[in-house]
Amino acid sequence: MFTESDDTEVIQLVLRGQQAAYATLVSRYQQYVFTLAMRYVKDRELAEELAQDVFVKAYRCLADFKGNSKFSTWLYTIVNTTCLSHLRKKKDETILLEEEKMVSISDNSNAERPSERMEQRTQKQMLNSALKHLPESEAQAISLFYQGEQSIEEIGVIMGLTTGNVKVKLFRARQKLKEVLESRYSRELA
Amino acid sequence: MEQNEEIEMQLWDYIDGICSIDDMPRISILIERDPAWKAKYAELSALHTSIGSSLELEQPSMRFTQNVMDVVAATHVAPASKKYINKGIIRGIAALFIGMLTTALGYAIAHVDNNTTSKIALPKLNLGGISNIFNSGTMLMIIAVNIVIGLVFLDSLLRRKRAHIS
Repeated sequence: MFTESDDTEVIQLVLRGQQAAYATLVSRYQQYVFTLAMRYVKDRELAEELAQDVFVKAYRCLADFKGNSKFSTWLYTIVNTTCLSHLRKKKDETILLEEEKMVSISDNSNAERPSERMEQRTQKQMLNSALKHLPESEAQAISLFYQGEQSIEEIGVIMGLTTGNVKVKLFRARQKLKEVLESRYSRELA
Repeated sequence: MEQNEEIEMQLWDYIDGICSIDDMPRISILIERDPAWKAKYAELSALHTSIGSSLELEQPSMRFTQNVMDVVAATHVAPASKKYINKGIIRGIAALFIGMLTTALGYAIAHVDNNTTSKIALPKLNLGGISNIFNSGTMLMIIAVNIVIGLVFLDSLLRRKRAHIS
């Protein structure tokens, strides 16, 4: 992850008129922003469009970044509001599966892929696939915590939730991921 | 089941490093001495490591940065909202409303008829012939249209001013 001072230096350059310096911030955070957008919309093209929109918005409002928080926290807040307002506008279909459906990801009976291929999947693939099937807010919390390196408090700021609510979301998401892994291993042992 | 969840919650706080200073040594001791806590801690720690190392970042297209920079080239950084939000105007509007309310209230209190037999006696507002004019539907319509035109004009004026600043 990049230090706050790295980002602040680049921001100052951009604010002083060196527009090209903004490309550094875009390169630095494009994967994080795109990944977070993917947690909300399943379509890659749409997620890329939203991620692009996020960076343009962030550029326009860069003078409003006061440095009270990390740049990444500020940027991810824009991701959150942009994606949510998109979903509200378009009423886009998001992948929301109930708990039982989550377990079915590792259960070969009604999974999207044949059982033979399921067994070949690594733990890494399993977790990434399971994460895509979590309710968006839980997947978002997990991504921000493990990938975006945001603290519980910062996730609360980004998602507009209390610390307690963030903890509950993380707890539920981890439980579901654990269930997926456990059921996979129990099948392998059987 | 609930007790199990409670243990897990406490252990997650411990693993995430967000449990209180008081709880930290207590949980450490429990992990050390209680086999159930020890087993659960090992299980959750493994899951924590596994999630942390397994999750992959999605990769946007190769041209992503260039696409963003192409759009950014045609835009400007807007001035900080502090600069264009004039606190004086906000205070002026607030003062106007407070003034209007105070005047209306003062007028009402000054014209209260204490000798009346009814329980509530509201003073009659004497506006001369103005009230007849203002009660006319046509007049209200004209005022509404004028307000809308005024707002549109103000909006375009502020937009031009903002574009000029940026």
